[in-house]
Amino acid sequence: MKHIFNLLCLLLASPFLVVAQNAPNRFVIKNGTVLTITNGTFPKTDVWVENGKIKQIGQDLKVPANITVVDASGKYVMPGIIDAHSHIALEAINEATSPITSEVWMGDVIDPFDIGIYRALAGGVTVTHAMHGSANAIGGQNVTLKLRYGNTDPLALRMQEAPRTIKFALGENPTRVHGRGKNIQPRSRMGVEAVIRNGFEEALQYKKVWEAYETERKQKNSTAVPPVYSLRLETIIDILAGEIIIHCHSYRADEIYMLIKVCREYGIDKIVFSHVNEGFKVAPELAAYTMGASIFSDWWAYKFEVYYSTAYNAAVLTKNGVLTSINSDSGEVIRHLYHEAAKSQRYGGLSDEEALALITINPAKQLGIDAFVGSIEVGKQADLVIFDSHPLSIYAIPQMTFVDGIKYFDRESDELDQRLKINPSELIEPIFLKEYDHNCMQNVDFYFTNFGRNLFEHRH
Amino acid sequence: MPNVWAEMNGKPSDMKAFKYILLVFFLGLGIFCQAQEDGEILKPQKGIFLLQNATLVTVTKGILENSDLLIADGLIQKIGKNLSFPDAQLIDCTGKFIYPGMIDSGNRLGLVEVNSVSETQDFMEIGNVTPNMQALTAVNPNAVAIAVTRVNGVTSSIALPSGGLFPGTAALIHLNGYTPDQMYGGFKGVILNFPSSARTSTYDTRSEEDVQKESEEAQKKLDDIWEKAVSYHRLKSAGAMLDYYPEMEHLSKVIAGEISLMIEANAAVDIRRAIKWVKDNNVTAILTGVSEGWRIAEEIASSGLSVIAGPVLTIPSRQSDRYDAAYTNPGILVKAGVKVALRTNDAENVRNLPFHAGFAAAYGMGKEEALKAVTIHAAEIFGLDHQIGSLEEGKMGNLFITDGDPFEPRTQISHLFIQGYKIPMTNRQIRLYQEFNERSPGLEQ
Amino acid sequence: MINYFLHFKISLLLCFMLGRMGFAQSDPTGQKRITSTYLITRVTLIPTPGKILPNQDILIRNGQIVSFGSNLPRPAEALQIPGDSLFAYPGFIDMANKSGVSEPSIPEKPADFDPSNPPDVQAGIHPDVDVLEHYDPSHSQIVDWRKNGFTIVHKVPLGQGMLPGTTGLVVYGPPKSNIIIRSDVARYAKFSTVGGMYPATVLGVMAKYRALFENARLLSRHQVIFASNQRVKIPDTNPVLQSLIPVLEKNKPLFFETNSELDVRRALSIQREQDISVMISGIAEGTLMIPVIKKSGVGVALSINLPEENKQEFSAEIQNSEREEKLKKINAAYIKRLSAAGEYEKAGIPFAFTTKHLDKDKLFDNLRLMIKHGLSKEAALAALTTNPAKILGIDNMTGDISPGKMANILLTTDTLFFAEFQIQYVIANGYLFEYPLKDNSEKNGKNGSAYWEYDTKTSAGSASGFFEISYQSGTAKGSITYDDPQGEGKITSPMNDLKVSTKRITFSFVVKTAKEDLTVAIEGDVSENFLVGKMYIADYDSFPFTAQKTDKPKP
Repeated sequence: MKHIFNLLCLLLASPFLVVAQNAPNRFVIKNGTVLTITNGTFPKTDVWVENGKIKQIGQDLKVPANITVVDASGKYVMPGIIDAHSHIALEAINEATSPITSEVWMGDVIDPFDIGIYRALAGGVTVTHAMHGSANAIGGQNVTLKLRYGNTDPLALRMQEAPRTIKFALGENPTRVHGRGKNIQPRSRMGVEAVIRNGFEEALQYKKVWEAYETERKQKNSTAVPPVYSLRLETIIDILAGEIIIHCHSYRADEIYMLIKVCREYGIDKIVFSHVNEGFKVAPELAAYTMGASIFSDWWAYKFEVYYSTAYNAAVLTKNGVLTSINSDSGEVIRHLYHEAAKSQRYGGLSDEEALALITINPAKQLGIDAFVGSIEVGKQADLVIFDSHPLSIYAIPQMTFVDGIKYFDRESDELDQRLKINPSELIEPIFLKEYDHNCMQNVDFYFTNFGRNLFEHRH
Repeated sequence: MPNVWAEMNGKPSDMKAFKYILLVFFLGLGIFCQAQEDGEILKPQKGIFLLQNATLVTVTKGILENSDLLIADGLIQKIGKNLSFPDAQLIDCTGKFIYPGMIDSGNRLGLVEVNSVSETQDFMEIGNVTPNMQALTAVNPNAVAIAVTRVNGVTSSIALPSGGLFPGTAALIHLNGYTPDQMYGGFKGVILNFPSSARTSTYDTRSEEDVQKESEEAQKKLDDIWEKAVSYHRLKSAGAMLDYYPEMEHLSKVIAGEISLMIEANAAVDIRRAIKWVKDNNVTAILTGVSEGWRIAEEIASSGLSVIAGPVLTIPSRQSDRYDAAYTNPGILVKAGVKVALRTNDAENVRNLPFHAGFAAAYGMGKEEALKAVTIHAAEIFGLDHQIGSLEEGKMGNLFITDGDPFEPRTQISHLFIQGYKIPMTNRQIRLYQEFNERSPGLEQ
Repeated sequence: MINYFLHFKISLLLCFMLGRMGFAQSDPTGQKRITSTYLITRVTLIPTPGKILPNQDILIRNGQIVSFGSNLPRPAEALQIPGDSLFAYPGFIDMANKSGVSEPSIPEKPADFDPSNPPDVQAGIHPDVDVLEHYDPSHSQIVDWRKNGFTIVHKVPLGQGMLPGTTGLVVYGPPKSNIIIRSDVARYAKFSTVGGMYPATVLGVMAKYRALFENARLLSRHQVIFASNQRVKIPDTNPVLQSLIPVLEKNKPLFFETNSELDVRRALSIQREQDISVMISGIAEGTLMIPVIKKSGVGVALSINLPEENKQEFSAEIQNSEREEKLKKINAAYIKRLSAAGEYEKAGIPFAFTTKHLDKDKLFDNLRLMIKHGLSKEAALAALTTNPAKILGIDNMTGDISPGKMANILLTTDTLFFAEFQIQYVIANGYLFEYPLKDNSEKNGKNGSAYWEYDTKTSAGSASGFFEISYQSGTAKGSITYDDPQGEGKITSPMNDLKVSTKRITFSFVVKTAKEDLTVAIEGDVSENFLVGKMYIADYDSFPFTAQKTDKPKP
């Protein structure tokens, strides 16, 4: 499919390539400035990829004669960008009918045909954390995706090695959807804590009942009858057992603090806070007790709970030892996360290494996949991006993006129209003046006041 | 980073220099200054300022190295080498650059405080034909976002009303002042949201015929209203005493040529229709939005109309378009010969205008044109190029000082002037940074 | 052959049996049929797709096919249906259809209704509802579908939720006759939701399927324990879980309604995860799922509903070069959609058809489009007869025409899927339905005439020319033009013994040569605008003869 097309392009007269072709996931990138993220920056250095993994990094590598060469002279090579909060490639976002929906799983609704996937690849993104929306206090389980665009099997986009994660949400969104919208708890931040605690306690109670049943069942001539099964509470048990990383949508400092406390009480240390606009106010706590914060670069003032934000959030968090990443929560922003990371240099003076870590190794750690991706190291998966200039420059343009060593984006040779499916009934395409989809409040937009009043709102 | 510490440790030769250092220390250093005194109020300061030894990026008159710029009475009084002026506050700009203040040609800055709180939204009024609604009236000079915006070098912006066919009258404001009139920059434009024939997003499931039909009806409505306005104007000009009809009154000002029309059109077919409409009705107009301008760039160029394009950082208008269609749009228009200004069309993040410009520059517009699109071309489009848009003697003192290219995120802006006032490089976000960077008390065990 | 009404038209009425079957009874309305035995004579029989038996008689009695063969003896009580020039096919089977089905009534929401945890029945989860209890066999749509050849239909329940109920198989006999073939066939399963309560999206639906199946397993376990030991807590009465237990035991399948390829994948996921059997219906999108479906071996039904061809002109929206590109892409997508059925056939998947969302007037047009784009006629017929019978497990009862099977037969005026064929009789469960035929005589050629250009090769060389056939008030006349054997130029001769049908043309004419008058006979099979056949020259051999129907050139 697309790979074959890319192979054909490799064979044609592209300025970067020598005509020689074998497996699509083996090649050597020659002579670029390699930003490893974890081991420093190396000019005029080669990266050799075999079987989708990074085999060797060094100068003037001795590679087999017939290997494909990608000439990166004058260019920059960095690890594929990881977006820790995204809703692209999903058919549905919010099962907003209950404040706890831990039983649902985004892996059931992966949409491999979303053009947003290609657009993200064109922005150097190779991994996205496809999340449930933020309508519920305890939301659904997320799925970590590799942007293998062109595969028609949804599960082919799943990153098999990624650990389980789940979405929590605090603040205005769940209180608006359930409390103000449907008169169900939570309606206030008090209720959000209560709903989460209730969920945890019910799960513990359920666990006891089932353990008693299983014990009794093993007895001889047991007549133990099974209790009711709840996939919802089973999942919460797994959270309490540390098998699932919580990614919690949150904004206000006090609610972040609340959940940190609750998690400590229940022995949960696998928690990442997401958006966390006021994270800078509780940076010491985040540093001590959590897996960090995944934030916007500079969004604020679209809701009241983000009115007191600062674009210096990344700087404050980083300087206080919080593992920090920058995410998009948008099908538009995901296309220039490298630029969003650069903003941390204006607002707080982060170094190049610190800024680039925000979109590579840091989100990899928060997703539990840092053993596989997030930096250019021998043995890691070959998720790589080639830029024509330093990625933190406003003028940088991504040239090629590789996932598992297979090229999925090539600015020079890709066709303009990258849709995988064309609707035979649609002669006049719809026109998009704004990114409506791919955000946290999709499907529940009507819970915002004045829905439809303004075309230009953010909804996160 | 300005080397204040070196200056502090050096031996100041006289009290004036020392005063200057203290002044700079307290006022001009924003994020690098951790030593704001309790109770110290930072205000915009009017005065005489001599910016010394900078590289002046004038935009219209080339790049002047090692030059000085004198601000007094709210204006750029003089540009030259080795200037001096009595009682001027000296600002050493060695190794720095001075740029004209950037102009965002369309947004809702000052018209909304918190988007989801409808009480704070003041850019949309009830009614389809409301050209009399004045955005300038609703601008909140004390909106928190204004101070957040200007520290990135944006000094002026066009406040846009929205909603309906004629949502209201936009106005150019400078981001300094305590009343809307103090902020008003001298340009107003009546907005026309040209009837759209596009299918707007995947939620719009009308059939093809319905889309066509409804757009034709909308076009007809517009023509009817315009015809009425034309008649109103004709009768009024002939001396008739007509009943109070503010909507027609305002439209007749457009017909009289007193005020420009800013026409929002994005789909290629709509832009085309708008161009024809402008010609048929013989009005002065500026095209805004123009997302699909690249499809018909030559036609737009032949029409002679100027374009306010943006936002640049947005998705392509169609799923089948190349992924960078919005990035390349302004560049393609410029290459075809269109005069282009840029806008963010944002509310609270107008501060990102230089980054929109940077992307447009990278994707075909070029740095020079992109800079013009946020300075002199915007000024020309609004008929204010005698006042703003470049560093020239006699123009308003709207400018800022950087240590590099203002489009690059890593560049720091150290000083900012609007209407000749020295603006404190602070805002709530900076103050929050200062308060929480080393929180005290810290972590309690 | 074009079929005209024969003299002894059988004036049969639709017979309705009042009350009990098989007992002689007075019927003051006169509606009851006089006999349940029919003999169809001299028909071209297609008992299964691909098998053609000319000149057959078929004997039907009491709703069953007794036998078929040539020249069967006629029982005295049999009414004869002359099948000369007719074709007999097995009656069509529809894999999923909702005509005549009404929505079940749902109880009112309770006072303490909680949308985050609603009672199953409100949330559209009621697999225990039987579609046959909400089916009205006298609905007018059924008359229309029967007319289109459908005899056996898998009725699926109405309902917006994910488990609307249990399906059933009916036959389109007269409403008051026994129409139920089999009840409790499968549990109808969807990915749609009622809205306004949990589950509201496909996310919740998938989680709900998992929870329901697991709890059904547990209920079954509980029931087993309870059955052997009364001193345990009584198992809950839960009709939803109860109706899913047979699914877990693989005694009943889930019949999935799908609206996209991703739905098909979800259905297969559920099958794998829960280890149950499924059938998948409503497949409308293209061919991406073919390898997956083939591997799974699941029975599938494709939708006959096709998108409209996009005939619209672009408005002056975009530049011409873009317009061409876009038109090409959309047309390619359209063609792909039409050729999907052919691809399924090529992959060896024995798929069935469903009339989901199909406008009844488009049935044969759409089938013809699919045939034009790669589907073979045999596979099309199989998808309407033997394949669904197999998938639904009723192939020992129906799906083809053979002794002992249910008498579901169509009698058509021409081969199936041909442009001008019509269904003259439908026999459903042994009941006869007759339909008046439309007069098609003017349909051949433009302005009542057809112009053909022909080519032929004799031992003397090749020759070409043209012939014309015109129709006036039901009779055909024609003339043929050929090179004058005696000199220069061309000669036109009238046709003799001209017989024309949509499938065949035969005629003869006389050629004057120097030596003698030769009678030349032409006969050929017609398919679309092509004729392929032979030319017989008296006392000589036959030669190949081909012709193409075209527009008559202007003089």
